[in-house]
Amino acid sequence: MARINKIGVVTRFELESTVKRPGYLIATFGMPLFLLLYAGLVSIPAYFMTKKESEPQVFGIVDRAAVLGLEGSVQAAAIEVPPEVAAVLEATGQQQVLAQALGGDAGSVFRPYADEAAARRALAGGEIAAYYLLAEDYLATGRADVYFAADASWDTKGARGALERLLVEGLLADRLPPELAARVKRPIAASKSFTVAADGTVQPRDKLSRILGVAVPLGFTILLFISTMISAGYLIQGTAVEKENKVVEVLLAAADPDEILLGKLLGLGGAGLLQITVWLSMVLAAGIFFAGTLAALGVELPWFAFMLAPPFFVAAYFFIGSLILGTGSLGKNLKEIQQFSMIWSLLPALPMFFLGVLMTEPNGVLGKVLTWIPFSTPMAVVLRMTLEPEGIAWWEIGGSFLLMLAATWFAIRLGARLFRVGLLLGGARPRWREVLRQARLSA
Amino acid sequence: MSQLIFDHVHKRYGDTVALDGVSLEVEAGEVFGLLGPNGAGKTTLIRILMDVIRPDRGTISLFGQRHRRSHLERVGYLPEERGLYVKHKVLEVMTYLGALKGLRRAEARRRSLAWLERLELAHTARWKIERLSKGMSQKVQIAASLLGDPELAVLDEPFSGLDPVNVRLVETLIEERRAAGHATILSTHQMDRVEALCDRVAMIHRGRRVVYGPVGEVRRRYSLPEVRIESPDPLPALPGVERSAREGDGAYRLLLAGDVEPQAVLAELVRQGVRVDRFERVLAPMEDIFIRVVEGA
Repeated sequence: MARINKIGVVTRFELESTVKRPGYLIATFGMPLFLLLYAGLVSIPAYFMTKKESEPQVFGIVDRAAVLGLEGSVQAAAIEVPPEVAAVLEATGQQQVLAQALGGDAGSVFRPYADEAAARRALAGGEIAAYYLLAEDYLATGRADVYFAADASWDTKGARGALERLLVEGLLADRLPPELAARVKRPIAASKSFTVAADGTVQPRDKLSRILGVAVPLGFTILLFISTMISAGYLIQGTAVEKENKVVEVLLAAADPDEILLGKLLGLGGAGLLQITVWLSMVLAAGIFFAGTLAALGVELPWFAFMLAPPFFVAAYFFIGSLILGTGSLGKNLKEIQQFSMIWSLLPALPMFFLGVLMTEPNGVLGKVLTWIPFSTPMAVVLRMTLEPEGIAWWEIGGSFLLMLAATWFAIRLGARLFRVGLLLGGARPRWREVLRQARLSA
Repeated sequence: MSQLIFDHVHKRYGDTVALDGVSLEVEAGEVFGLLGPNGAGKTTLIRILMDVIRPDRGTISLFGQRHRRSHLERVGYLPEERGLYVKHKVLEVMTYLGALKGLRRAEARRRSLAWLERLELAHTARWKIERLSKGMSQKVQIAASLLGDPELAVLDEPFSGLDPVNVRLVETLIEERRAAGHATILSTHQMDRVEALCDRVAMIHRGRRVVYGPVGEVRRRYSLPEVRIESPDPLPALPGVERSAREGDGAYRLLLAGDVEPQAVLAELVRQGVRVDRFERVLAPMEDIFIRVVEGA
């Protein structure tokens, strides 16, 4: 029976030893800091560019065709976006972003000039950024030339989009009834997509929300998988440290192999968890940033799959970690330990190789088989719960979790025995017959 | 009272017999020498005691009870194959090993500092282990194994890598343990240390116990009937003496006939009026006994 206090002592030592390592600190805090720094460096020029573009530019208009009838300076109408997009942008405070993306000229001001000579004087005097000349035969040709100053910088843009909206307003005014004019300006003002199921039921069809509904939990699953593998990596390093420093015999004389194994699993797993928590906090910050967008898009996240994932992955960590520690201890140095442990790191990635098949048919034969293999259980269950929750039975979830727990218990027992054998076979390369014999005697 | 009893312990690795029915007892307050050539089975015996490996057959009793893992809290262990976490600080490692032996963390830390002070290593408390010399590291490991003031300590080659001053220091520690009534198992190839420190010894050879008993008795058992005499007078012919020789310092070394007691020779010298400055039974050194046993002499 493992003693809690011994496990606690090993856990604390392993956790403290790992989190104090420079490599760990750099990886844990350095990477987010680097990404923040990178984001900051990238956003500084973008900020100044946006600020510059947000200042309204004045353009001259020489209306020889007399289609606009301007009596003074006028600001172009704002871009009209579909209501569903507008809702998303409003929720996230991104109106300006879309306006920039669509035209970049929402704030343009047009100032009328009686003739081209007056417009040129204004251009030469720097009063306007450019001027547009609507030809006499504009109605027939649609010709509207733009004139820039000779010293205009390369990135000086015109206001074609804004002018077009201004022209549409001017051309329709007093020519059509207001309702018809509005339809001409915006033929489709509102639109929704629906899907008709085989039984005739009609449901809203939203491709973007569906993609996000899969991508977000898939990303979460992959992150959990990566965290399991990172923690497993710490286990490999920890085993190598003890092997190379010849400390194992002293430890085994003070604590049971089960206690050392569990202490290491908890301590090094905790270090991995801490690292992932720091990284996740960044993801969470991004999530909060985009939460409004997701909500506005009506993305339905599979919360049940989210809740199921952590216990499955914790069990997976203990399952794989025990096997890594056990077999790793049979190696003499880091290289051998990595070789002996590699198989346990590869097997959990099995569902990743079949991701295409699983995405297409999550509850097919492959999905069901992978659900019952402890190495692939967490990813298979979470993917099935995410992609097609109605296709996985409750007994599959419960049964596979129980199997996972049983496999974990077995792996801890086996890992502890191999851990002891790994020591006693010392410098000699172990023969499998002897390993099995000693493992049996260690019971 | 026996602190430790091995009773017919057997262990084999594959086709190799490591221990073949070894039995021995270690008493409280004694220094017990566990001797034998490399590969004889000593380390296997120690590892069985420390529950690192399990015997195939035989029983072990510790502190008067059947061996249980919880008893090992009261046993200190300095293994032959030893090391420390080289990237960690001395005090951290000692505190960890003390806590692992059941001490409260604060107590383990306090004792670690006291031991470092005692071993004149207080200045190294915050050093990384890798910065220590071999001798310093050795002393830290000995201190770590004795941190819990164990009733039984197993010290496998504790003198290796130590200079004479530190050898003397470790000997003092072992003698202090004896004075406190604690048992120490000393496994070493340094036979002069065995003679100086051990009360009793057991020698293991090819998995079997081949020598066992108090050091003096073992030495007498393996000695020739010889006496050494220092005298300013020439020695006369003495009855029962088969051979007489002079040693470099002028002393006489006499080989006695099998049935002649040394006391009879001394009495004859006194009777003949020979002045005797020194008279002693010549005992075989442990090193000779070791070599004779191993070579099958």
